[in-house]
Amino acid sequence: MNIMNKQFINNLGILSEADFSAMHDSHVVIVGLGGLGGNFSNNIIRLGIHNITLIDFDKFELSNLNRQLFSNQQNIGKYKVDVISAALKTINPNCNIRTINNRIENINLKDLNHIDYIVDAVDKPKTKIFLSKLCNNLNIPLLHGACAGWYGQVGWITPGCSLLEETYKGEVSGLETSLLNPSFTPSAVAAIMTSEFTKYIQGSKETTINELLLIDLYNNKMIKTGKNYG
Amino acid sequence: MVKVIFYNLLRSKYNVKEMFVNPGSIRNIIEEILEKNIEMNSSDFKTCVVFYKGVPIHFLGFQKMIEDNDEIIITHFVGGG
Repeated sequence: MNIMNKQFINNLGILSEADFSAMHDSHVVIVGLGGLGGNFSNNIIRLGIHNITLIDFDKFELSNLNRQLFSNQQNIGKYKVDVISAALKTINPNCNIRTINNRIENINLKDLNHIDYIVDAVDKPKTKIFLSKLCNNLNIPLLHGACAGWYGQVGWITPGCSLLEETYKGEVSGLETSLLNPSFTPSAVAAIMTSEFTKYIQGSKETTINELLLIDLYNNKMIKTGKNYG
Repeated sequence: MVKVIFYNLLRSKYNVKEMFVNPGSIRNIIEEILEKNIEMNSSDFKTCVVFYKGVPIHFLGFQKMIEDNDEIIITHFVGGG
C-alpha cells in the first residue's frame, strides 16, 4: 500500500518522503490524555504517525471541557482512551491504535511491541519522574511536555539524562496547582511538542535535547535552559 | 557581574526581564535582587528553580556559587498536562 496519500500531502512542505516514512513506521506511546496528550495525538495522527499506543486511566469530566480537545458534553464519563482512539480512527482509519486503560505505573511496557518514543503528557511531577526512569531503563527517548497558566516546558530527554528527575526533585507540584490550565496553553504547548517531535525524527540540530524549552505565552518568549547536562 | 534572566511567573508578576548582580551564592544573589526590587516577595523565590549551565537548582541548593560573567535563569517549573 502506498503510505503517502493525499491526506498527508500538505505535510510534505517540511517533510521529505524519508521523514514521512520514518514517522509512519515508528511506534509512539502517549502517556496522559489530558490537554497535552489529546492535542498531541491529534497533531501526530494528522502528521502521518501510524502506530500509536494511548495510555490513560481517567474518564472525561466536566472540568476537562475548557481545554481537552476531544472532550464534549456527550462523552463526559467515558474513558479517554476509548473516546480518543475512536476520534483518531475517524481521521485515519488505517492507523494502528492500541489503548491501555490503566496507570503507567501498573503497566509492563516490555509487553508492547517495539517502542520508538514515549511522550510525557501526564499531569503529576512524580509520574514525570517515573517516566524518565522508565525510558532510561528501556533505553528510548522521552518527549517531555508540561504546562500551567501561561507557561509550558518542552524537551527531549535521552537515556542517561536525569534533567527531569532533578527539575522535579522533592517537589509534589509546580505552578499548575495555583495557575491551573486555561483553554489555549495546552494546545500551544502540544504544538511545540509536535514540532520538536518532527525535528527529532528529521535529525535536526535545532531539536531541544537534554535541556528544556521554557515557553512563556504571556510575554511571548521562549528560551532554552542551556546545554551541558549529561 | 552575573546576568540574571527572570522567566515565566517572576517576569509576568513583576515585569522584570533581567538584571545584573554581583557574583556570589544563589542565596546572596536573591538577597541582592530583593534589596533592589522591594516590590518582590521573598516567598516567590522559595519555590523557584534556578538553571545554571543547564542544571536545575532548587532552594536547598542555593548555596551554589555563581562566577563572575556567568548567567542564571530564575523560573518556576510547571508539571501540568
